[in-house]
Amino acid sequence: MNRREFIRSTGGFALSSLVFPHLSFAQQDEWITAFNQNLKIKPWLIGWQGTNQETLQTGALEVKGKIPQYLNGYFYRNGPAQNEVYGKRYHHWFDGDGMVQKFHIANGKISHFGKMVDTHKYLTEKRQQKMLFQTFGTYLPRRITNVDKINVANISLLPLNKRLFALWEGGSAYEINPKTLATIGIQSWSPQTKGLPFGAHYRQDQDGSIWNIGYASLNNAIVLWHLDSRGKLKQSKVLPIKNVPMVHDFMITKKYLVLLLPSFRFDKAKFMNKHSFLEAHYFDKDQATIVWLIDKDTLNIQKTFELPAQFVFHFVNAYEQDNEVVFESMRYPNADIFNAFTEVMRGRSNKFTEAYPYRVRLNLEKNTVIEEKLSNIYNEFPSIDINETGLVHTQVVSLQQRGELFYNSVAINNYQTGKEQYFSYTQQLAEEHLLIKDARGNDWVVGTTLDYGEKCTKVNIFNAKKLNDGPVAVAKLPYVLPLGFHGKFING
Amino acid sequence: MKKITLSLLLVSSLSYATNIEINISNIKPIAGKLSIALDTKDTYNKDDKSNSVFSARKKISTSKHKIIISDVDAGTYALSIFHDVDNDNKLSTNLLGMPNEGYGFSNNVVGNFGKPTFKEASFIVNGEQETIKLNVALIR
Repeated sequence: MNRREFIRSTGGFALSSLVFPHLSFAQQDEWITAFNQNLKIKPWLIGWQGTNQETLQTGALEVKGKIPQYLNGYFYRNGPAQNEVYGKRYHHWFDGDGMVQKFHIANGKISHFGKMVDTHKYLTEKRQQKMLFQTFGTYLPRRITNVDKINVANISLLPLNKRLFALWEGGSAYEINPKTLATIGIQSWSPQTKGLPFGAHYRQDQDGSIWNIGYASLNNAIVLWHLDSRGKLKQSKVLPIKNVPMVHDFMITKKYLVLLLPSFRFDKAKFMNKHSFLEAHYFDKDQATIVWLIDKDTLNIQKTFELPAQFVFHFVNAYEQDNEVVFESMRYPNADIFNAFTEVMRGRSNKFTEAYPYRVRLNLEKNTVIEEKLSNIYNEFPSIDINETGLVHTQVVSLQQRGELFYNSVAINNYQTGKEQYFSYTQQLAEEHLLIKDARGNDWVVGTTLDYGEKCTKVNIFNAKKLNDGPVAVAKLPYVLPLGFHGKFING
Repeated sequence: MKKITLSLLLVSSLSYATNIEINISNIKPIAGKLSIALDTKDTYNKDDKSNSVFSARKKISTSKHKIIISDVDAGTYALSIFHDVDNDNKLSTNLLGMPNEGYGFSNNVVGNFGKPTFKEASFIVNGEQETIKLNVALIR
């Protein structure tokens, strides 16, 4: 570089930092710098880069293979999408503003439309062009009057009676239009329950009614919900508990709600003293993990059991068998997984999963507990045929880690017969795959992957009977969707 | 005799009592009543406002209301307001005690996942001001 070029370039830099102060190196967010540096050497990090687009849309996608004739409907997914907000990057995967994805499958074609959920938080920050609010894992000092002011609606979805709700777990459900994905607003099921936490992992009962939980860490309480199949509140209850555990998921059987309270508990004093919600949690290896069996009629705790200290995000299912309640979970030995999801936001971690599938038998007569490890392979994001909820399930679809990185495989397991099929993707990270039935009752496995080689997201469809053979159809999007969490499939 | 001495002392120590003018905004819907209480530290955290320095209810006819509390003695006070939409004389809440109706405090201060402290919401009447103006935008 000669002297003139040097002056021009430094002059240009000075000017650009005046006109675009966020471009100034001195001011750039350290997490953005770290993430971008690591992205250059770890291309798979693109899944955590995030988007600042309000909508993403394409017409018919390029499809390899053949989409099954009777598989028609809407595959909705939710997840954190805006991971960088006006020049600052979040410190945890769970923080970003939610974006709902809709894949429309009809007549052998797939199209995609994605839209940010217009939460109070998202719209307020957009108006002020600034990161304003604390999130799950990123602390900001601004005072919060109630949790729905920081609701990011980014975990899951509830389709109910032709309505659609984007679910978080700290606050209310956000209703969105199932066709346009336009945000309708915060859902209140009744004045008494307005603003109470409505969790991301509801369970739909055999009669179509919806059971749900919510953990209200600041109020020392766990909330139980029961809605009828039309979305009318039937019953709710607040159960008091100190140092509220992080209860992400739960199960139902014919008679019971089954809640596992992990040994990952909330310290309110720490939260009120300038720490993020996540930082205010501690894993206590000496504190038993508690299981509550709650009577579905009275919503009273009928029995409690103790398990070794553990953490669980997701359960497969629970059912009653003779004098036992049996459930399966993806069990972590501790809560270190949360740190991995912090580190990935600056591109540091590359090992995420240490959850093994377990079967737990609660003997109601002897009050004993038996835990059985079902596999030595890391498993997460379990899915069953939703018609088997609360009954003995026949097969479980899950993501597996069979390589160096994250979840790279999808499996279908019948733990009763021991039969397993799996398929490993190449240069792809797998997101949740669902076990679904088409209009003729055929079983398919449908899920998205991030192809970090081709830099795009793909929709993969497998014949559940021949999962080993690989997908029967793969649809390729012209862009990357930020890695998300949970989805639902609606036939139609 | 004792009473007279006391009131004479008060008059001599204070120049004059102060009027507090409160401009309340962000009132939605236009229904029900505003419930206003002026408290000292002793009564601020009490739900029953019958022992407050001042309490009143005002029917709502517009999204902004002005309320004047006259002749307030020198002291440290906090103002609590809520919008009693359903006219049941109390701040309606959900099962966990989170407000379902609009509310606000002097200094326009908001609590962090709860009510602000007296210290945060309080202001001083020093007996030298003729009128103190406060703006409170209701939180909903």
